[in-house]
Amino acid sequence: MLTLIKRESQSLCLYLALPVLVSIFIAILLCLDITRRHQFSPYSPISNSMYEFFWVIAFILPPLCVGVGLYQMLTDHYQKISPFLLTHATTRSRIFLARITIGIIAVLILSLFWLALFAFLIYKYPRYLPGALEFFMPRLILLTILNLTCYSLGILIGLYRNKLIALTAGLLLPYILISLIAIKGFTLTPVILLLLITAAATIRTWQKFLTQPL
Amino acid sequence: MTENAVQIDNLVKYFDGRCVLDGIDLQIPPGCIYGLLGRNGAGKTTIIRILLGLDSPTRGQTALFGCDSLQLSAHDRSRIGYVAEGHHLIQHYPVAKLIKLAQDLAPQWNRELFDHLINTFRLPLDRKVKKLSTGMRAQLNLALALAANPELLILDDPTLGLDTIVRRQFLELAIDLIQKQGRTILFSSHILSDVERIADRVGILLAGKLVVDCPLDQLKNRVKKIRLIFDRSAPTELHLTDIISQQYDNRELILTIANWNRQKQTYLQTYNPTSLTEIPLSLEDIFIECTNPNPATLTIETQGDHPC
Repeated sequence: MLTLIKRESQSLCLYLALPVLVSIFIAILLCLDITRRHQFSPYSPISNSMYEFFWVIAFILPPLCVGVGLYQMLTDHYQKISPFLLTHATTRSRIFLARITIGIIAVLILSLFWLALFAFLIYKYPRYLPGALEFFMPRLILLTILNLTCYSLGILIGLYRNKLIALTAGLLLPYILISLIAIKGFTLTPVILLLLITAAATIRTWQKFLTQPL
Repeated sequence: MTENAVQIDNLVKYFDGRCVLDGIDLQIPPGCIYGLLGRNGAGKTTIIRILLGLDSPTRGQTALFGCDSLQLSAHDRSRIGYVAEGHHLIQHYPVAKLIKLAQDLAPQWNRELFDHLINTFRLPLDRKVKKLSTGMRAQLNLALALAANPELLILDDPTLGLDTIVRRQFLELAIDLIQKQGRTILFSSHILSDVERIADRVGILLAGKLVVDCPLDQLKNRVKKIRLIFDRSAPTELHLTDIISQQYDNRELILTIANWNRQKQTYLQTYNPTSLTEIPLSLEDIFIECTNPNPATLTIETQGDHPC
């Protein structure tokens, strides 16, 4: 199992470089913007800048998380990885478990990066971010769940092995889900809905991966 | 009772409404070297893929070492080596990385044997798999399959695309290993001379059915090509069963007959031919006769249960 996890992580490293670089780039912009605003007017609240960047990442991260799932499944198909692995001492279940373990870790790393950055800024500028913790934390947690949902949809769509469907769904689905959150607001309802979609997509992917021809 | 290495019961497979395998029954006992023959699209690769759990059957069951193909555990898979047609290797990996992955996955990696094979084949470890020639990929695939010390080796047209020298080298190595280690081998190939050299039992797939399943020697004894020459024109109607093909040429009649026996010979003598001679058949000849586009209903009867 560890061998499979290692292989999956090495394989995903290439793809993860893109979202990580995008995240770091946005994080640098955010920090520069906050510093600039803080220097310009030390007593003005800086939550506006964080709020703007929250929506930027909310629009960028989910499609990248769909991409993580798509990348894993399409790479597997086009490079015939599972047929090779299955001619050795392993099973489909183990391959799938190793794959989603690494996928989920990747999505969590991306999401936690932002949780950590926001928490750091809130900690650093407590006077200028009144109520920021209560405001941003539920949103960032919801964003993390949204990313996991997008990842689970990504692996499911990737199993259908059609690049056009993958591209269309990869671009559309995250924004449909974001719209859902925008309509329902940052409440418990979208959280439950997203968790249900995540569970359904993961179970369906598992079932399909165990039975489909490789 | 010894458990069969391969067990197939009433296997049926449809692709897009087209029947590819139609009620295949096959048992391969341990230690047997089984040659699976058939024309392109006959279903050889499909059988192998279903056996390995890479595809699922429409109906019927397949098992390796008594375990259902769809439920094979990691331990069961470690007992199986597979060299696939086209070679299922991760193309963008360097050879060394692929070897490391296979080694890490194998519970019983025979390093000594693998090093010997790699040295024999002179495989470049730093090159990517996709940059290797077809022959080198076949050799790498075989080395990986053998180094895992499998009890059952499945070779699906492993010599496809190889030149004569590499093919011969590949086969001799395979024969050498087979003889030394007494493994069970399921071998599918288009090159019948290869099968003839290695197999001790053969099966022929025709239109989704396994029309022949018997020891190679028995097949050669049971399928005969007979030339009959008559004083006058040859009889156009013979009341004889199991005629695979017949050719008339005025006084000459050439018959290919399945399940050949003394009774059939005696029966043919009753037509009073001036000569009745047997034309020697190689496995390739038998295969061509058996897979004739318009054969009589063909089933080679096996004489009792014939383990290899």
